[in-house]
Amino acid sequence: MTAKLQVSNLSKYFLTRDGEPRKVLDSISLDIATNEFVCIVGASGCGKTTFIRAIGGLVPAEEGEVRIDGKLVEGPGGDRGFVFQHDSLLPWRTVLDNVVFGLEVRGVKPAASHPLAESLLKLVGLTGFAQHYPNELSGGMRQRVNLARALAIDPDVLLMDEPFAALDAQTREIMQRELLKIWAQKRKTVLFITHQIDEAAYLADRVLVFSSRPGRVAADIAIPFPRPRALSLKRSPEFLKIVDEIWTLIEQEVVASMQVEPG
Amino acid sequence: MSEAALGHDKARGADAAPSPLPAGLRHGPTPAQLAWISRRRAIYSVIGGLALWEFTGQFLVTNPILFSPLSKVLAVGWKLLMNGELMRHMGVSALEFSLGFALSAVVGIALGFLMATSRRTQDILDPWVSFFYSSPLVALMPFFLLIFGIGLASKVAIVFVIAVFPILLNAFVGIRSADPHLLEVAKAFNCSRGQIFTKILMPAALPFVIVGLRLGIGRALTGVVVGELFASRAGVGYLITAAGLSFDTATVFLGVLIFSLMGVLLMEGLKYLEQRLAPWRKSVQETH
Ligand SMILES: Nc1ncnc2c1ncn2[C@@H]1O[C@H](COP(=O)(O)OP(=O)(O)OP(=O)(O)O)[C@@H](O)[C@H]1O
Ligand SMILES: [Mg+2]
Repeated sequence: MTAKLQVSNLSKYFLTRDGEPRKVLDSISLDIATNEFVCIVGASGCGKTTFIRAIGGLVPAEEGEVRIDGKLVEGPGGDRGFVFQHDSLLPWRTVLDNVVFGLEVRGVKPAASHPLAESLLKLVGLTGFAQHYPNELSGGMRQRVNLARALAIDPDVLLMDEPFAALDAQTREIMQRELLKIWAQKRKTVLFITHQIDEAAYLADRVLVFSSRPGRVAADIAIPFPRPRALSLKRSPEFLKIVDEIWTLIEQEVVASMQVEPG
Repeated sequence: MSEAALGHDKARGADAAPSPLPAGLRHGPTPAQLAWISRRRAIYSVIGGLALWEFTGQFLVTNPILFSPLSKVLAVGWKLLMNGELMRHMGVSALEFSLGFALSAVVGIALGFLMATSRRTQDILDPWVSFFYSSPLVALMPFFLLIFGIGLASKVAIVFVIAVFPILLNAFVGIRSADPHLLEVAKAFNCSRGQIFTKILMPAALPFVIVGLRLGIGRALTGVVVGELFASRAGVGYLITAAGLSFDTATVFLGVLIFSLMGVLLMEGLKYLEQRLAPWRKSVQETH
């Protein structure tokens, strides 16, 4: 399989308050195949958001490069769709107008974008909510809109930064299942960041473990379970064994990250 | 539903009247009723206040120079309306207000947005805005009279000068308070600078702009009064000054009443405008 997304020797620095450079990403290299679902887990503050923002072209990286289909990434582009960690719907737009946002920016006329948005709302299970405002929706519904908005521009790569972090456990599980369903239907390459190891193991073909600051790929674990995966998979002993393995791998990293001093 | 639950329902239904609402929701007024209760209280309060006004004028302070009851104020108002005086004065004041306020709104919003988006403009304008925002600019009126004369221009100038700063400052703060997360969304979707401005910054600033305009309306009305008090040949402020000089308290009250009603009316208009332009801010209360 060809690599859809290629990251080579990516390093990223931030300046501390005293103007000292501090490394947050340490020469990360990875290949993600077309239609592969890759999850990144890692301790808080290890640079996961920074990494996905660099891939999205939202922040420049000082060293290394990102390529999509062999093409160098130099900024945001329509080949990548972003689903953010925080609540990022535009509060003054209805659900429908939020979903068409990316298309509107590119000059697609409502006559073309509205039917597409309606079909995406159906896909994420929000038929009938097109004219609602975000503050009328639950957190789970808002993240569905977020996903629909990212899908609307029909990107090859979906970049998802802890999209379900703010949801309660049940909603989260349902959303995970829905996401897999949508992924199977839409055939996207997905890079998905999460804190939760079981979420990563349930969703991914491969789980990457990031080390604590500076972020490095500490482990790369293939998840062998066949698809489609039922939610009940999470209660199976094989699944729990893999989760346990990953947990052991990142345990030291988490402990280490708690000892990182601010700066 | 289990049989036990059904049985429980039936037992309840026997002593309580059947109702489509769950028990917990049955008590207390609905939001619509609450709104009506509030409105009724407000109406009573106004009627009570007007009655007190009339009563005071009729029985407590009967000296017509010191006070004037509502009925007399209305009678004077009617007389001035019939002989066309009232419309003439109101027309003059309305023109001064509209020109001055429109100018301050346009300039204030434009400069506020410019300051918020251009570092250089901000650095240059910031000291002046801070200085003028807090200085008592009505004191400039004699100066405006000197350069613009006694007519319309000096009134427009004073209205503009005292209304523009709160509008400018709120427009500025509105743009600055736009959620950085939403700016990142705009960036991720490849928005141009113009699109970021129209699709993110402007809607984010809208509620602040409305607040600025509300403050501006209050100040602009003050500007009209002050301008006309200083020197004028017509206008509601002129009406008040002239009446005051001839101890005609009823007409003074009438003038003040007109200004107050104008203020209330403009605020209501602005509220309506906000609901039309920013429906998302209300939608939760309305649907739940
Ligand atoms: N703009 C910035 N300027 C300076 N330092 C930053 C900036 N953004 C992030 N950092 C630092 O970079 C490190 C990585 O941050 P990042 O947000 O990528 O972590 P994360 O892994 O996404 O954490 P979380 O799991 O809590 O979301 C943190 O130590 C953070 O303090
Ligand atoms: Mg993060």
